[in-house]
Amino acid sequence: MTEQWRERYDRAVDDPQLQRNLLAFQRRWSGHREHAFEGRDFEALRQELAAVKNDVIERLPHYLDEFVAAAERAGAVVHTAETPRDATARIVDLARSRGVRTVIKSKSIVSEEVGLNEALEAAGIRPVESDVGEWIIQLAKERPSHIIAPAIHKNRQQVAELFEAATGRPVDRNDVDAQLAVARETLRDEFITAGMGISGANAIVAETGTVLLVTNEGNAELTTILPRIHVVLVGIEKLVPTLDAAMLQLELLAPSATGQRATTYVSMITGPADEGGELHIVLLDNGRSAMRSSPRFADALRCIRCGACANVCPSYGVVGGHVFGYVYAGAIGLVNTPFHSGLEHDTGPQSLCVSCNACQTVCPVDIPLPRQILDVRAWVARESGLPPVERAALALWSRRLVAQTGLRIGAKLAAPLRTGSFLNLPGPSKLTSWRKLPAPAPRPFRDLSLSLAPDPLDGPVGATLRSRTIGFFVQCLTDWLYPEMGVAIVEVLRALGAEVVFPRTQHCCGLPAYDAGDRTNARRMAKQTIRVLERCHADYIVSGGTSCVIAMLREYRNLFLEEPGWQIRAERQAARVYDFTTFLDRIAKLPAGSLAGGDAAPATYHYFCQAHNVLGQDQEPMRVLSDACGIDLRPMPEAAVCCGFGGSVSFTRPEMSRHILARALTNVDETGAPVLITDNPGCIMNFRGGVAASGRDLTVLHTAEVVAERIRSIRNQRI
Amino acid sequence: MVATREDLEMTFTAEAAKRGSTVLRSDLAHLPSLIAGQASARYGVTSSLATLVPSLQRASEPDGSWPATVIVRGRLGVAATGSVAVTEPDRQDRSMIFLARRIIFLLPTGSIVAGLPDATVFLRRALGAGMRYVTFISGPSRTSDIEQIAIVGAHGPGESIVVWIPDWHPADD
Repeated sequence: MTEQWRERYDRAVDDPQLQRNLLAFQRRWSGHREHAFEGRDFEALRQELAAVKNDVIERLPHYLDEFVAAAERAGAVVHTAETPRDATARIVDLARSRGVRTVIKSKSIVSEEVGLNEALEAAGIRPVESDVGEWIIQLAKERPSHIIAPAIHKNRQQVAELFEAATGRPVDRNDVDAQLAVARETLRDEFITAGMGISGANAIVAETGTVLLVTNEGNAELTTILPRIHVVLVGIEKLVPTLDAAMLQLELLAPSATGQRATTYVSMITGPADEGGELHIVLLDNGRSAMRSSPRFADALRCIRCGACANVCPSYGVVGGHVFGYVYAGAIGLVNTPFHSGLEHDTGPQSLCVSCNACQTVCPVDIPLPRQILDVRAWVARESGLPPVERAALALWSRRLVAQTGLRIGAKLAAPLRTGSFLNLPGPSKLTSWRKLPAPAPRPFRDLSLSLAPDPLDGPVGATLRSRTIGFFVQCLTDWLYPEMGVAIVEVLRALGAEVVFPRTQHCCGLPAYDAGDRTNARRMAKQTIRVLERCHADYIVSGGTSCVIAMLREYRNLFLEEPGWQIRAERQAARVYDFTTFLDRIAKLPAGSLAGGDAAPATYHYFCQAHNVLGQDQEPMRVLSDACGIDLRPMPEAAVCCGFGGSVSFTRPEMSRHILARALTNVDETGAPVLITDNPGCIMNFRGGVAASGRDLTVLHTAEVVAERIRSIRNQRI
Repeated sequence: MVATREDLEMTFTAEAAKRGSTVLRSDLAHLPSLIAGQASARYGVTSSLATLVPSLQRASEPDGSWPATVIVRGRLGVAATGSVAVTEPDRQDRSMIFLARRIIFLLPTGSIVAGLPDATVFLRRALGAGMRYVTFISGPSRTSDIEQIAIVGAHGPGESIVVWIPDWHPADD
């Protein structure tokens, strides 16, 4: 992690204006995007485009040859550049040889990637950015903080100051129309006098040699029409095979980027537009071939640079693109920075991902960004090593007996610090000022004497799981902090007629190590878990720790990519692993009204983000809680946006996590419900701690606790 | 179900309005008076259009400066997005499209497709005919780069008017 990054991070987490801008932007974008995709099958469209892009990645040399031939036939000159230096040298040479002193540019993130403006300036050539946002950023001598909205972190007062300094004229501090007029007038002269126009490309079409450009302002068109020389700088991953594929990309690009059905301008340029004009196309590699040959990262070359992954990212929503990314902001930046700019520039940014998986749900080419970010994290850990304390903790944690002995001793030592269910830690701390930490349970779940035999309720509901044996995977936080949640799950399963088995040798699924990038210890714990599950004679394995379930269902596949034998064993177990809510909904199929009754307080539901984003959970909790148990559930805004727990991120980056939790709690407040129900012990720990630290009057419960309470109530009524 | 031309035009009108365009209809005979009502005294007409609609050519008074209003031939309407494709071959004409403050597209009523994916037939034909610069335009130029406030009239025109002309059948269409 560079010192500059740490400074930017510290500044960003303490910048309320930045957070206000970003949050407003994210919320507005989400609404617009939903509207733009209305009536269209987003999933089908994105799989179609992903397949097209996969074909391009697979047959890249073929499509490159086809593009070069078609573009040259149309009169363009095509250059190839392996490195940023190759690209900038070629463009500077072109400008110099033609006596160009000013170039006008339309927005191109690739030009940021190669440092084109710096190279032009060093050669005495003046670059002028023509996209209004890019011009603001250029005047501020900064980098864009978002692919589509480069100046999102600036307010109108700052913009006025920059325009005033640039033009020497007074600029109204509050009138954004007047500010835009200043930009238009100033830049119009630049368009007319510039000797060369430089653009990027949203796509290049192999079939026809066409360059496709998309804007709302019209600056790309003026950049490419007015100067006689047009230079296109484009990464080779922007290839699409045909015009049909280009049109398909357009169907996804604008709704994903700006939430528009279509941008104002889409231009398709094939060869120099006029007699005597020149069109030069510089095809940039800069690490793209290395990505292509990497099985873990090649998928990221599908990216069409829409920025959607930033627009849904809760971490980006706090710190912005100068911190969450490098040249490329957002999740894609966390994945491609090592290839385009170097791993050292990603050490800090990748540490901010909370693994909520929201980015992949909106990606118009379905890039497995969350998995790839964790692969980058493992790469960083391999190259730089984990911090010593984390490394030692995970090494101890991965050894079941050592860890469990340590936990028992820790619980005893922490007993004097216990106040209610929280630890009362001395002194102010960035870890506890916004979220109280839970006290260890006096006895872990595994030490409780519980009956596991069926104890069915009367009537058909008690026969729901008759003759079924359920293996219970308790999950570490449930085991050591919240055993009552484990008790609730067992109680529910028994009441539905199942027999429960509890494999006593179970330990951690390995997720904390996997999340931290420590693949060695993650694999050790995963293997131990798989062995335990293999020995468990049960029809299903159920856990209230949905994150562990997702680890078993999905992350093990990645963890054992190089050990296919273990991958097969993991997948065999995954076939019978369920999180508690999905299990009650899909397997137990609780009938509507079967556990209803009483007068439970109104509640609201917060999805565990991964349950929503990875498992696709949507109506399942409502069917269990509302339909079956009769709970009055009030809809919560942004109900699936991460609470900020993020595995270990709330401990390693508490300054950021506290903002994400504050956003979630504000959303809960809006419902007015006195009870918050959610599904994952990590989220529950985060919410309960935040509620206690903020003095809110809110009860936070696991779904199982609510269902168990209904069962207890029914049993009491029948006595 | 296959959409009729009328369906497509209705969709186009609704979508174009959402993106800030005004959609009108006029036959050729009434075009000059409609233009006179929409444009200021000075307006530019792209050269390809001036050849096709001489009545407009007469009204044009180019004096070398960029006109406030430009009238341009629309080659294709895209219903789903309310977009109009333009393919002006002349550089000066092409510049005018983006430098004017108001743009008026004239579009023959039959030149319409349902969505962008249906525009590839037109594109291939345009490329085959040597049209090197094709732009689909959906409403006025806009930006949200200052505090995410949407403002129309960034670098390109701030007003957009589409005129459907039912009795216009350009030979090269």
